[in-house]
Amino acid sequence: MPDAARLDDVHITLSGIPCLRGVHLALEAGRMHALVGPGGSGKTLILKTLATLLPPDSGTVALFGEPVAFGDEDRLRAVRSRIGVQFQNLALFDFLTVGENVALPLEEVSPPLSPAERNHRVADSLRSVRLPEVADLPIQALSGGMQRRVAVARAAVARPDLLLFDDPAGGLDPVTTSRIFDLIAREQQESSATVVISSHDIPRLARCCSRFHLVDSGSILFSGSLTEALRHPDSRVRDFFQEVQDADR
Amino acid sequence: MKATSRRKPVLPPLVREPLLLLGRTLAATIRRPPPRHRLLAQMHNVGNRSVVFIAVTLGFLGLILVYQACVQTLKVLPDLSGVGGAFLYAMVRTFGPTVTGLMVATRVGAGIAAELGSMTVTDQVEALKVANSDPVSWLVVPRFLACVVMMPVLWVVGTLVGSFAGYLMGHYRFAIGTRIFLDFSGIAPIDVFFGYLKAQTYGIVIPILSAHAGFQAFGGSEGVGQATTAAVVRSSFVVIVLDFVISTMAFLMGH
Repeated sequence: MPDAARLDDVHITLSGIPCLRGVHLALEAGRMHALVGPGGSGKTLILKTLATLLPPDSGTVALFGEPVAFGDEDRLRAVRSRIGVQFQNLALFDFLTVGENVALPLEEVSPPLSPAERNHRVADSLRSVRLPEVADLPIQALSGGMQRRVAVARAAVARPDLLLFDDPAGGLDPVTTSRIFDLIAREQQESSATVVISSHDIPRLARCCSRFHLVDSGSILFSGSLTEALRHPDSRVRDFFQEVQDADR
Repeated sequence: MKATSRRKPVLPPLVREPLLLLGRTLAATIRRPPPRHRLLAQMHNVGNRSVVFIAVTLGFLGLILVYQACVQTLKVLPDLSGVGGAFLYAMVRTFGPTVTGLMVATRVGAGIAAELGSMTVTDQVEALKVANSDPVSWLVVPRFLACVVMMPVLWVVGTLVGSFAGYLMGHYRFAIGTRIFLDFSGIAPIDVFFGYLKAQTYGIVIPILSAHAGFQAFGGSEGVGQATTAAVVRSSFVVIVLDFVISTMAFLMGH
């Protein structure tokens, strides 16, 4: 399988602090990838770089086999039309209804969708996250868990080739967390998209992700399966996965 | 060896960036006008929700100005017949538009910066970008158009209320006759035009400076607070500077 996304020696410095220090990451197309690591290690920055929202100071970002031209708005728009993102703090608009929030990535698709087709896609997407009758409600009327599901629906509504989820179940109870991971896994099976999930929940990630990428201090320390991680010669890798698994029990 | 040189921008970022944002806003306004319901919601927020605040402020200003003018005049002259005309002239040309501008900068400018600032720090602006939607078109254009339309309306309301309050003070406290106080003979159409020009200019500048400050927010609530403060300070400062510039321009043109 070719790589859907590839970061080569990516460096990013923000406010004078080096945040990403030579990230090498290859995301095989059509698979579910888990991005794990301690808080503040750079997971969100990696996701934003993959979403073409953060141009690197140096290094290359390649998506769908092509290097990303960060200065070229037209090419950037073409690439972004193939990406869906669920942001860590959801980024839902409180001046829009649930349906309008979900429809946002469909506003600029080419060719444009008819209103009927757009409504159909939104309804479909909300049904897939088990929120069939909330399209006309204001976003504040929903609980935290429901809002997370709306964010998942919005990320997937345009049927993107690359789906990025930043802490999709953060702060939720175990039942809702499992439900959200199941939704993402089902979405991936139906669309065959490449999915990247950043989360601390290793046991649940292990149920749906085949590849794990451990981020530590702004670089990728390990890429491979969970079994490989638990047998890794580097004790930092072994200990991280072991500790997180133990903590969950 | 080939020497590559990049020309340094002439204007400082605090001037250049809002000007660029104004250009992008105008282009986005023409390219894709906002949906009517979103524009009306912003007009309601800018106009209807500010009108009482502005009317009360200008009302008190009218009371204070006339009171002080009468007290000071009476120290040198027993004649108050010129107070009304001079007061109305000042209200139409300077106090009406500029105090309204300052109040809009405080209420509306702070609101725009806080809203856009929190959208920036909570990734909502990035969500628009990744959906290939233009944040300027979505977030700035409705607020910009609402300010452009409502600012002259607020100027008219504020000036009328302030003038009426000044009349009440002059008439009931200092016994100035109605006809003597409401002396519009000193106000030419060009004076009304310059009052309008100021109000209209503030209506363009305040949303742009406030949106620019909001987009610059970073971090968390502290960053939003800083952006809001910056919006109010910059907008208020620019309102005063523009008052001076437009007044000087009028003076140089012989008005």
